[in-house]
Amino acid sequence: MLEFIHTAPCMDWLNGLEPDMSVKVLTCLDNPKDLVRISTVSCTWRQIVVENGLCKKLCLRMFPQLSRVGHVIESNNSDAKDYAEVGSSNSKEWDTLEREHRVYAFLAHACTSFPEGDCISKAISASSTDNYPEESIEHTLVFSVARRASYWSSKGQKNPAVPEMLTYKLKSDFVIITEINIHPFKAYFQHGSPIYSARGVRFRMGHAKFPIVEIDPMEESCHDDKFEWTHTSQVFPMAQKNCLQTFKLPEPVLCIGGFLQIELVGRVQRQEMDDLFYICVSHVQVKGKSLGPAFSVETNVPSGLFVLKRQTKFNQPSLPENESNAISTGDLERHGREMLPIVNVLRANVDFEEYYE
Amino acid sequence: MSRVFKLKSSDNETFEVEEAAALLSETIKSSSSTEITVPNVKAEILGKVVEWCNKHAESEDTKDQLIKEWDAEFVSVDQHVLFKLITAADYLQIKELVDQLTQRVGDMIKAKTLKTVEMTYPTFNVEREVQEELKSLGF
Repeated sequence: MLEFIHTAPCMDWLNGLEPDMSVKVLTCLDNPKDLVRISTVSCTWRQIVVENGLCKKLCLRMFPQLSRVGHVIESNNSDAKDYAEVGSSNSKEWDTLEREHRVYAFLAHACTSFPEGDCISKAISASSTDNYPEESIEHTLVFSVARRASYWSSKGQKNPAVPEMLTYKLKSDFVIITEINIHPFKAYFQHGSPIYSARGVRFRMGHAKFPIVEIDPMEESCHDDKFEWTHTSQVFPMAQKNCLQTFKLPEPVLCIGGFLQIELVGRVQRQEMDDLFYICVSHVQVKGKSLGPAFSVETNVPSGLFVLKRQTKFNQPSLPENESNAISTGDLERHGREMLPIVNVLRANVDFEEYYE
Repeated sequence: MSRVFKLKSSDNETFEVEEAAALLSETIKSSSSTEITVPNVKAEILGKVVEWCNKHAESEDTKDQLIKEWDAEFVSVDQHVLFKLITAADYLQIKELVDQLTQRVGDMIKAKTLKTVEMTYPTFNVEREVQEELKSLGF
């Protein structure tokens, strides 16, 4: 409990207002630093901020997805043991309010101050793959290297309405997603250089139903039984263009659980050879802010309300992914994402400008 | 034929208000009488509230730019008047006026122009305490 040097005399303007009016005024503050600043001015103000859960309310306004969180715990070790709850029920309730104040204040701060970057950790599965492993989903996370273009291809379908799902794991359980970028694949080695885009895309975010997700990458399914999708976006139209297309979410979304699924809705391109519709994607990127390891979440809770865990020894976002964690498959090598497929282009004798439009 | 309401301030001044303006107040709406005494609110403040209601009753479109400018000027008053207006608007349950007034106070807090006893006579410790609190929370 902080010591306040100025114990507030009752000439405070707050006393001129009804309590619910004071709360209403403080609810207008949308910068967590202002709320913290207010809470240090006097005991009375601090009481109002903590008692009314103003930091929590601020977070809920920013990210309504947080309404699924029922409980917050703090830990300063990675085993995340709950602090023992002792004392009378009154002090327990106040302790909870104080804890929520601390955790949500930092959450609001992290949401605004952590840097934005790439959020995909790894590919999980694709609903179908034409040639495994040459055209597997892992290829959507690297640029072309070695001799061939790097892309994922679905299996062919007679019916263009059959969708495909690509599932990815993000860098932590708690990721704010602002936009998703997808580059449909142009088969420059086929006659007419067709672009195998989809008619549209839709995004789902959520968590794994069970603690460990072991998925056989060759298993073709969208694995709906393994995930609970708590947020589904609108369908965004996709252009049949060979470029990295940006799908910006109308509002940033907090993905609780760290899993993202891209649904490719509707096929537009037939393959001349077999007259079937395919969808092929050469690159996928998710832009946003990963809030781990400072925050993690327990989603396997019988009540259905998640538990938000604050790791107090981490005040910074996670460090950039170690390049040596890369998956290597056959002759596919993982390089830095900035590497351009110059070798590939030269060998295939394709016009560089045309390939990247 | 629209009714005329009489609002009486705590210092016994009466304001006559047309029905359309008066009914912006939920308190008046749910009152059985057309004569309402507003306790603890002096004429100076009650008069301003009536002025706001009259302005808003005559303007159909509250999203109109002109009325927005008028509203912005209306809330740009001394903070002690501002707090009294909040109390009056709260008692009369005029939601939009309460929203505008409380938003104004919020803006003053953000801009650090709100004066309180603590803020008027800050000790050198205030900023240090703020930084310590921010740090302890992990900011």
